[in-house]
Amino acid sequence: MGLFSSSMALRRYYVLDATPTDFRDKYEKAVRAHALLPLDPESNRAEEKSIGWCSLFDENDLDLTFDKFFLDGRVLLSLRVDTLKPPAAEVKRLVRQRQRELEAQRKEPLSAGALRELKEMITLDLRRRTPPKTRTADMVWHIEEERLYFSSHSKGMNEAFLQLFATTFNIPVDVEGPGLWAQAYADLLDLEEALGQARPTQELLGGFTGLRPCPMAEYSDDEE
Amino acid sequence: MQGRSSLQDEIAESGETPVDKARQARRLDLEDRRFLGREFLTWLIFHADPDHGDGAFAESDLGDRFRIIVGERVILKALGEGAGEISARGVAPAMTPDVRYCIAGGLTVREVDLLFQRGVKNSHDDRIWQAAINAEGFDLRRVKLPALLSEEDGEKLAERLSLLDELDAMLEAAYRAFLARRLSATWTQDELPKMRAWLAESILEPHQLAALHASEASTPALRGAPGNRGSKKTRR
Repeated sequence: MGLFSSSMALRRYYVLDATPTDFRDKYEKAVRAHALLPLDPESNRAEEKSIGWCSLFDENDLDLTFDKFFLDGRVLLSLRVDTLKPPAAEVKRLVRQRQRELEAQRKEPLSAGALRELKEMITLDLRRRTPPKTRTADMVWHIEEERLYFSSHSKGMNEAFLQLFATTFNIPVDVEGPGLWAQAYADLLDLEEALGQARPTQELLGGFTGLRPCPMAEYSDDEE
Repeated sequence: MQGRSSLQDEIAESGETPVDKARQARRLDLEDRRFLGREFLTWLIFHADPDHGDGAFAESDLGDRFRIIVGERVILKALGEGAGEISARGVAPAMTPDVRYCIAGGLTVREVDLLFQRGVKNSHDDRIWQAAINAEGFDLRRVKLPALLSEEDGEKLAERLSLLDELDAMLEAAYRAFLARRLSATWTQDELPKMRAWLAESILEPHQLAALHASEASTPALRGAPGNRGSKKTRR
């Protein structure tokens, strides 16, 4: 559900450091260095996952020049996660099938080592035939406002995003939410003391006693 | 089984305090002021009621005036890991006594579908944003923006981003309106008594309401909003 879809999901992050003034070349180099490297089933048997940036407008565009990802004071990129892992059940089924054939030919059971080799061969073969699964989530980073939107709530995608963002831009980010917005509002109107003293409202936490049974009422006033 | 102690006995002997999950959740809640998100969405159900604000928010430095309407889904939950979740779906669930009964019992809103309306109602200038907001981080789900006016791709994206910013600004403006009440004496002196009266009218039978008013009249500390209002308008 990216920024172009008719129904979006969004999480906000607050960028904790200011952007350097000469960020154009720096960010172009950094983004290009962290663009997605597509998985190659031939060259690396063990690699199951690849994470990197791609164009927000085209997930197959990995040639990320500055003008492609910077628009109206915003960095626009997509996180792309490719996964290439043959289904375990399919590997198991094919290993058993091939094992039966080989054992019938040789008229003796296969050794543990031979079985391991057989499994590796079948996995490699399946990797060649299985297309990678691609997931993307969009990021819009408003440089001046020091905040960004990320178009996924998935824990895995958010963890991958935070790691990739930190390694690419070397800037920490934090999730925006009610606490941060309340702090900003308190700072604006000099209400830090009132905010510092704010505690959960007893009625909303434990119930409005007298209106109905309130089983949570016991948790209302014993925090301090 | 003779002489074998239970886990509870062993904890009692060790001098350790058993962890109460609800209290632990509340402690964590205080650290990052997460409770304000839940209280805001719960208050919004009250504020969106046609008799109590009609979801209207005045013009501010974050933008023009707008209105929030509660959509077709409200999810409520009490504090603590083990607490069950209650989901109300359908036409105007916020108007049902069921949702209000939950709020009266200490369940707070965890996620709610909201419609943000800006412009002149039922006119060509009327624009509506739709989104489900969760209380924990104000994450947005199922965001639907008003129809785009731009025709070129580049302009369309800029317009979508601008509309998103506008949605976020409206949410923040509504939250600020809540904080203005929540961080002042208005909250306990005015807003909570009004909420109590609103809930009482929504969930109590007329004779129960009369009994409550009589008992509150004799116990000033329990008194709700001034005046006895009519019988339950929202009961269906």
